[in-house]
Amino acid sequence: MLLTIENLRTVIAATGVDGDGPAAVVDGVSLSLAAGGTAALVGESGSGKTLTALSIMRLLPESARLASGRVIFEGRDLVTATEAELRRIRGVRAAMIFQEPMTSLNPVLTVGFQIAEPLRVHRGMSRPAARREAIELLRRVGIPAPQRRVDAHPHELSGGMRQRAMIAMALACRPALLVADEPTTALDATVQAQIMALLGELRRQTGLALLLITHDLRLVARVADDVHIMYAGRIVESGPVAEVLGAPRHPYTAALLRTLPGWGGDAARGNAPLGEPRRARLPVIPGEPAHAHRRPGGCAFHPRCEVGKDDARCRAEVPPVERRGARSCACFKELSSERVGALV
Amino acid sequence: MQTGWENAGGSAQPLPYGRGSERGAGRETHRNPADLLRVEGLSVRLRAPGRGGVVRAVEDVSFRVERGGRFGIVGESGCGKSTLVRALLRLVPATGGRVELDGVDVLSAPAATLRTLRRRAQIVFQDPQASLNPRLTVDLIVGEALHAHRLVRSATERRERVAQLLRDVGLPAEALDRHPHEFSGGQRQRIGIARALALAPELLICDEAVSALDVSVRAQILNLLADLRDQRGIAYLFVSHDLHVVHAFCDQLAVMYLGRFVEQGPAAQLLHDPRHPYTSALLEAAGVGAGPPLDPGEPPSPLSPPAGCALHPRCPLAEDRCRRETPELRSIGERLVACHVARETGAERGPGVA
Repeated sequence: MLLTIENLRTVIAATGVDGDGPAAVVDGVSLSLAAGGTAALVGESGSGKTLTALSIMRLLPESARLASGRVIFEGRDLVTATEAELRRIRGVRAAMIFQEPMTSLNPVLTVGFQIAEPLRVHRGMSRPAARREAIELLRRVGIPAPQRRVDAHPHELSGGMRQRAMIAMALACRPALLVADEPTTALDATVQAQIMALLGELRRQTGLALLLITHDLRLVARVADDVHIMYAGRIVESGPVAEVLGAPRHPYTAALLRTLPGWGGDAARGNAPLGEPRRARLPVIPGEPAHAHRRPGGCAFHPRCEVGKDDARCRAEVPPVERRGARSCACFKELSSERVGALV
Repeated sequence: MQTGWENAGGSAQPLPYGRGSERGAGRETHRNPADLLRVEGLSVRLRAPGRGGVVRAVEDVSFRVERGGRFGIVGESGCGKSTLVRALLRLVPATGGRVELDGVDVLSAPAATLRTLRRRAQIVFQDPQASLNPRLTVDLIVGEALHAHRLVRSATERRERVAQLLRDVGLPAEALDRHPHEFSGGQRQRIGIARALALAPELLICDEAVSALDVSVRAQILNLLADLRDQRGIAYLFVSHDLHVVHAFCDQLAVMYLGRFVEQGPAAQLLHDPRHPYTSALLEAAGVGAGPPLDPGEPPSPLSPPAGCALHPRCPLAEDRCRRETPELRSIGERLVACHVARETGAERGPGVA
C-alpha cells in the first residue's frame, strides 16, 4: 500500500461562541490507498473530510492537533515525521490541491515561477531548465499557448485554467500521491468533466494515486475505485464504489443516495440516463448534518436515522467498524440488500 | 426595501435604457390567459468596468411562464442567467425587449406600479448568508417587506404574520428573535424563502437557491418549494446549473449560453433527447451520457464572443457556416433550437432515454 491510515484522531481546541471543549473532529479514521488507485472520501459539510486530508499532509491549522494514529506513506509514518522530513515529502512525493485555486496560488507571482519553484528547490534544476519544464507541465495539463501562459499571473487565468495551473504545480515533482480537496466543485460542469478526465489520464500515465475529497456522489461513482463515507468525524462505510453505492449497508449511505434526484439502479455505475422525472416528493433525511465537534451521543447519525432513531443501543453506544471482505460498516442495524430494497 | 435589491446590479454599469434588438417581435406569440410572465426579445447590455467594452449579457431572450408553472434556466457561470432574472424585476435595467407580469408592462411601469409588481414576484438568492442582514433578527428580516408595503399596522401584527410564515417554511416560532448566524445553511435558506413569501407572490424566482446546500438538506428545500406550488399555485422561475435538480423540479426548460437561449421547450424532451450540441454536452458532463463532449476549452469571454455561433470553437459538430452565421432559434416540434446542424427528427436511440 502506498498510503495506510490507522485510527487517525485529530482534535480541535474550543470553538466558537458556544465554548465547546476540545473535540475529536477526525475520530478513528482508517483507510488505505494503493499506488495508481483512486479513493474517495465523501461527506457533507462539517463531516471532517477536509481536516482528514490536512491531517494526512500535516497541514493542520493551529487550532487543530493530531492526537493519535498513524499515517504510513511509502513506509514512513508522517505523524512522527520531523518538519525537515515533511519538507522532503510534501510537494515532492505527496501533493495537495484545493477547491479554490486562487487561495493557494500566490497572486503576485507568475504561474510559471510558482511551477518552477519546486523544480529548482527539490530537483535542483537551473532557472532556464525549470522554466522549460514548467511550460511542458502546462502543456500536459491542457493549457493552450503554454509559452505565453507561463508568464501570466493567476488573475489573468479563468477558474478552470487556474485549477489546471495548480495541478501542474502539484505534479511538478512527479508525486506518488495527490490529495485533491473538492478539486472541481467551484468549476462549471463542462470544465469539471475536463479536469477529472485530465486527472484520470495522469493517473494512467504516471501511476499517480488520487485521494479525492468530495461531497459529490455522482462524481465518485464515475471516477473512484474505493469510497469512504464520512459522518461527523468518523468513516461509517467503506468499500469498492460499485458495491457501496450499488448496495449500501449503512443507513446514512442509503439515505444520501435516496435524496439525490434521479438516482437509481444504473446511476450507481456512474453513467446512466435520466429516468422519468419524479413529480412526487423527494425522499429526505430529516434534520441537518451533525458537526463532528457537536456530535450526538451513541451513533452520531441516530437522530436522523430511520432504522436507529428509537433504538436504545444506537442512542447509547458508538457502533464499532465491522470489516467483512473488502467492505466495512459501522452500524448496529446494518442493512441487508432486502432491507435496502424496501427503503429505496 | 428588501435586503438584496440594492446590490443586485453587480459591478458592471448598466447602459441607459434604449431600443435594443427588434428580433424578439418576430416571434410574437398570441396571448394566453394562462401566462403569468411573458418575456419578448429581452436584451441587457452592460458596460464592462474600466475596459470600455460592452457585454451582451442577455441577448434577445423570449419565454413564457404559466401560472403555477415551473420554468428552469440552466447554464454555466457567466452565461447571463442571473442578469436575466434580475432584469425581469428591473434590478438591472434592460436595454431592449418587453416583460409582462400578468399583462402589465414591467419595463416601462412607473414607480408605483413597479412596487406592486415586485410584490407579486420575489427572488430567493443562492447564498442565504450573503442575502440576510446579519444584524437584524428574523422577525425584522422577514417582516421588513410587510412594513414597506404597509401590510401590517403594528409590531404585534407583524410578529404574528412572521411567526405564521416561519411555520409555513418549517421553522419554529422561537426563530423570530434570533439572528441569521444562529442558523444552519438549510435553515437560513428557509428564512430567505419565508421573506420571499411574506408578500404572497405569484412568481418565485429561485437563483441557484439550493446550490449551496448539503445534499441531505437540498431535498428538504426542493420538497418545500414543491409544496408551496401545490398549496398556493406559485409559479417558479428556477435558475440552476444542476441538471438533476432541474429534471426533478421543472416542466419547461431553457438552456442558456453566452447570453442567449440556445434550446428551450418541455424539460423532459430537452433532457431525454437534446438537439443542441451544448445541451448534449451539459448532460454528458453531468454523467448522463448524451455526448459528444465539447472540445477542450472554456466558455469564451462575454466581452468578445466568437463570431457566428458562440459555441463553435468548442463544438464537436461545428461546420463552416457555424463560424460565419449566428443561428436563430427555429422550431423543432414543441421546442426551439438555435443551431445550424441540430437534428430535425428524433434519434433512433434517443441519447439519455432510459
